[in-house]
Amino acid sequence: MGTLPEIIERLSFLATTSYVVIVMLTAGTLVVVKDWRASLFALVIQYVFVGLMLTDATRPELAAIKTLVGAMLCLILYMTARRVDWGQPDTAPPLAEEDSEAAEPPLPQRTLPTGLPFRFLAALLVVAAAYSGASGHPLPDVDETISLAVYTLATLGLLAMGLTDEPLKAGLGLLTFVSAFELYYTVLEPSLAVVGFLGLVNFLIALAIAYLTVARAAPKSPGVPSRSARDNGRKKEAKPEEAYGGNAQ
Amino acid sequence: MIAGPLLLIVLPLLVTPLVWVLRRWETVAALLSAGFSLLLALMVWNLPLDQPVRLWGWQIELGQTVSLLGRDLAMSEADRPHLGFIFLVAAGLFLFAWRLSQGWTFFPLGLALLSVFSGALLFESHIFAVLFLQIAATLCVFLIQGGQAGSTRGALRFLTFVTLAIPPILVTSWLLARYELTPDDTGLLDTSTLLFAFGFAILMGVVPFHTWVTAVSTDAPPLVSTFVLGIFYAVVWFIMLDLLESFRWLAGHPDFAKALTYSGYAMVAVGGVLAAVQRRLGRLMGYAALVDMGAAQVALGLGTSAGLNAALTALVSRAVSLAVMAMGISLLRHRAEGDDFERLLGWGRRVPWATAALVVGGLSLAGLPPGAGFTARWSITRLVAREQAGGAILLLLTSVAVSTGVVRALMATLREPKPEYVGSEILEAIEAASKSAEEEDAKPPEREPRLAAIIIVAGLLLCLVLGIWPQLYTGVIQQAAANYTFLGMISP
Repeated sequence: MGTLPEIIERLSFLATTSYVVIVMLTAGTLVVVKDWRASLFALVIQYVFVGLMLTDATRPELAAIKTLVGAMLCLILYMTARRVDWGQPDTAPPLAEEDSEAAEPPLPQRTLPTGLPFRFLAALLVVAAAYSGASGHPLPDVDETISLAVYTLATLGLLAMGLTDEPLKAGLGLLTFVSAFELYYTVLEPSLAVVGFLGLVNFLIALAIAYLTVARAAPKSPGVPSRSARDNGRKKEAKPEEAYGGNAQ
Repeated sequence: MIAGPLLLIVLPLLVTPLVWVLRRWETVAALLSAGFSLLLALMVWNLPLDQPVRLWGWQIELGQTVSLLGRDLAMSEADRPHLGFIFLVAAGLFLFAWRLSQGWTFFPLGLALLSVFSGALLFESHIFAVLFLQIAATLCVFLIQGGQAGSTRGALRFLTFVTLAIPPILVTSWLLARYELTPDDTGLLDTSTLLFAFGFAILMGVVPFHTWVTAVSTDAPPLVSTFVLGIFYAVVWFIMLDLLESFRWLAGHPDFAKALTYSGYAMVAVGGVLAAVQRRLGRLMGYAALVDMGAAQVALGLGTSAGLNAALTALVSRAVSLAVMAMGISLLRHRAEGDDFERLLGWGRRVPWATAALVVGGLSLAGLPPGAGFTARWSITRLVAREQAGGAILLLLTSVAVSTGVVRALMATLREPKPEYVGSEILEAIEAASKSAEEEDAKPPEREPRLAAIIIVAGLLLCLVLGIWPQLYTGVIQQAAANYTFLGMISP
C-alpha cells in the first residue's frame, strides 16, 4: 500500500485513459450523429477533455486557454446553427433542389451511402485503424495515450469532413482535426505565443465556418445571381455592379 | 522611429476599416485600395533598408528589425521583390475590380490580406510564417464566398485543404530544428522531408490534391480566383523557398528533385487534358492555371538557377494572364448569367473586349505568344528539353490542349444560339416587336460599359507588353532568384 500521492500517481493513468475514451466517443459522435445539437455538445465535451489531457502533458494555463478557446468556438457555432434553424431542410435545401422552377431536371448525382449503419461502421473502422497506427507508429515525444488520442481525433475528423458537404458538419470535423494537431503540437512547442496564434487560427476557422453555414442556408437576394442560378443557367435580374453581391450587401 | 516591417503589417490594417466603410462607393474603395497598394509597392522598392527616411513627418527605417511576440520581424533585400510583387499585383487587381464587382469583401479583406501576407514573409520564424499563411487562407474564405448565397464548395474545400496542409509543415519546422541539435538521427530528416513534401503538395495543388484549385476558380468571383491563385499561391512558393534556403539539406534529399518533377508533370498532364474538355470558363481557368503551376514546379525540379528564374517568371506571368482572363470571365459571366458554354452562345459579338480578354489571357496562360505567359513557358520548355525531351513534348502538348479549351470557349461565344424549335425565332421576333419601348429600355445594356472596356483594354495591353518585352521584369526576377543558394543541393 503506497502513500496517497503514489496512489494518485498510479490512478492518473486511469484518468488519462478515460479521457482518451471520452475524446474518442465525442469524435465518434460527430461522425455518427447527424443532429447538429448533439454534434456541438460533443465538440464542447471534446474540447474540455482535450484540455484535461493537456494539463498532464504541459503547463495548465495553456490547457486552460485551449479549453476556453474551444468553448468560445462552440458558442459561435451554436449561435450560427440557431440562426439557420439547426439546418432544417426548409432553410437549407439541397443544392440540386434549390431552384424548383428550373427548366431542366437535376442531373443524377453521385451519393455516398451515409446512413447511420454506414457511419457507425466507418467510425469503428477508422478507430481501429487509428489504434493500429498509434500502436505501430507512436508519435515521438508524447506518451502513448496522447498519441492514441491524436490519431483518433485526426482520423475521425477527416472522416467527418469526408462524409458531408454541409459547412457546419464538415467544419466540426475540421475543428476536430485541428484539435488533434494542437494536442500534439502544444506538447512539442509549449510557447504562449504559438498557443495564442493557434487559438486565433481556430477562432478564424470557426468564423469562416459560421459564415459559410449562413451563406449556404441564406435565401438568395432578388438582385443577386446565385451560384446555383449560374449553374442552372437561369435568368435573374441583376444590376451590373451587383454581381457577386457587390453593393447589395 | 517606425520600423518598416511593422509599418507594412499595420498600415494595410489601418486602411481596411476605412475601405470597409466606403465599400458602397466602389470607385472610391477601388481607387483607395489600388492607390494604397501601389504606394506600399513603391515604398518596398525604393526606400533604403539601412538608413532612416523621413516620410510625411515620420522617421521610417525599412530594414529595422523589431521583436513581436518574442519573434524577430525583419526585412532583407530578398524580401523586396516578394513584397513588391504582392503589392503590385494586388494594386492591379483592385483597379481591375473597379467596374467588375467581385463581391463586397474584395477591397477591405484584400487589404487585410496584404497585411497578413507581409507578416508571413517578414517573420523570421518559420512557424509564425506558416501560421500567418493559415490565417490568410481563412480570410480568403470570405473573399471566395464574396457574399453569395448557395454553393460553398470552393471556399470550404480551400479552407479544408490548407488546414490539412499546415500541420505537417509546422511539425517539419520543429523536426528540422531538432535535427540541427542531433544531426546523427537521419530518421528525423526522412520524416521531415516526407511531411514537408506532403504539406506543400496540398498547398501547391499537386495531383490528387488539385481539386481546391478548380473549386476556387469555379465558385469564386474570377478576380478573387486570381488573388488566390496569383498572390496566395506566390506566398506559398516564397515560404517554401525560404524553408529550403534555411534547411538546405531538405533540398539535398535524393528524391527531392524527382518528387518535384514528376508531381509537376502530373499537374501538367491532368490540367492539360481536363482543360481541353471543359465546358465552363471558371473550370477552364482553373485547369489552365494548374498546367502553369505544374510547369513551374518542373522548372524548379531542374535544380538550376535558370530553372528557378523560369519558375519565378511563371509566378509573375501567371498573375497577369489570370487577371486578364478573369476580367473577361467576370464580364461574360455577369452578362450571360452563367459561364457554361451553352449560356455564352452569341455573347462574343456583344461583349468583344471581354471575349478578347478571355482569349488573350487564356492563350497567355497556355504559354502561347505574344502573351506574358509565353516567356516563362518557353524558357521552361527549352530547359526541360535539354534534360528530358519527353517532358518538353508533354509541355508543348499541354499548351496545345489548354489553347484548345480556350478556342472552344471562343467558338461558343461566337456561335449564335439555335432556335428552340422550327419557327421559334419568328415567334421571338414577333414578341420583341410587340414589346413597348419602356420594356425595351428596361432591358440591361448588352455591350460592355465604356469604363469597364477601358480597364479591360489596359489589362490586355499589359499582358501583351510583358509578353513582347519580358526584359521589363526579368531583371528583377534574376535578382530575386540570386538570393537562393540551395539549388546546388538539388540532385536532378
